[in-house]
Amino acid sequence: MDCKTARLLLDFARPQARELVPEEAGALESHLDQCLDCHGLAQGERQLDERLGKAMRQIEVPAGLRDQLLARLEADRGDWYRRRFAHGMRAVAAVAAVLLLGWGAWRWLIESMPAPIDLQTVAAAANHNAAEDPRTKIEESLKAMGVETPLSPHLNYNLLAWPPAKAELPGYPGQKVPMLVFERGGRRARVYLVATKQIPADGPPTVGGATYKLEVLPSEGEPYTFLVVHDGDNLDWLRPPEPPAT
Amino acid sequence: MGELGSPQTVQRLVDEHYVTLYRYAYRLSGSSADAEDLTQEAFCKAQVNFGQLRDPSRAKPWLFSILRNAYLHRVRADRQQHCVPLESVGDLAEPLPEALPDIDPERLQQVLNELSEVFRTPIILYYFEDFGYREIAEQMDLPIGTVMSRLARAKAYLRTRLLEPSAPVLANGRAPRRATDGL
Repeated sequence: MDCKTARLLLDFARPQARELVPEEAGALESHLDQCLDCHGLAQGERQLDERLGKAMRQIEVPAGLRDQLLARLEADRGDWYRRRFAHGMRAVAAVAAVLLLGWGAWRWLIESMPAPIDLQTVAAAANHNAAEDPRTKIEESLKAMGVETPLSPHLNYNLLAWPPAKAELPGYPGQKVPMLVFERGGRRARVYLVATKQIPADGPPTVGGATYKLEVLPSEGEPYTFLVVHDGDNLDWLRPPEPPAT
Repeated sequence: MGELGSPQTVQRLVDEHYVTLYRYAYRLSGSSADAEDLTQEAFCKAQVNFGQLRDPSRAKPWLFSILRNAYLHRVRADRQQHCVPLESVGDLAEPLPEALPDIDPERLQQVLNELSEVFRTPIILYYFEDFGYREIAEQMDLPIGTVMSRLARAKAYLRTRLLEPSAPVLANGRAPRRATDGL
């Protein structure tokens, strides 16, 4: 080994560095043993390293630093748990909010989307309604209006055009009574249900007029009397069909 | 959030390394108040990120690395640092006098304060503990050649400033011009 190589390797041969492989370290030591110049240089460098290392580590550590550190770490640990708890709570709240939003959106979607219609169901229901006696429904509707009376047998309820509703009795503003509307072939009749006690017992059964006629249907002993206002010559079209002869 | 170390583990970590870590922090920052703060900060970060320490035998370099990052964070915030440039300083060994005097630790700190962090950290790590070139390179995330070059220049600068009685010591680490960090 020559002096130039030896001086370059000196940096790697310091005790702390341990960068040289044993062969290189051995060759360097052999050279230093033989070369006085390099030996002196190495000795000086090692002495400088030793002095610098010693001075570098010569620092007084404050008394109580350890306890101070442990106290601070303990306090930090408490903070960490509090932060962790808050973090967890925030996460739970976020998840709950997302779930709530999702549920709300799902509900909105379900409610805003009309349910699919089964045509068979519609047809079956229509047939069922047609087969049903319309008087049952009319009686229920009247009952809901506070009127409980048997229906007049002189009317064909299959011709009812609208569900029963309350309407003002012509000539008596503000007095609303149940009204049934019947239609057939361009003819129309409105039937008002009036308390029997309001009708004069000796009154005429028919009252004529320019356009409309009023007929009082017989209602012996019943609480309500049916007044028919119509625009035809007679009420034949509104009569119930004759039962088939047996 | 990281993984919290158990109280016993953290206490053992403190017991084993707080002296070294404080001294390293002192040499880096040049002040005992900053060194205490940095040491505390490093241990606090280590406590809450304990899961990052995969190999317990690497606790020391891990702690040193945390402390250095904390220090660099502060240094970056304080842009008023003045350091000497080392471009003109040679890195080849010159013969030394036969009997070297002891080096005054305070004066050493003054001279260290004149160096920019990129030179100061490797020289501290090198002389301070058992850090070799490779470990310093890992610690600073630098190529080993760069570490060697910086070490040689920093050492040459220390030698000039500490062993030449005529060399003036710069007050408060102030230098004629700003340091350039990279080489």
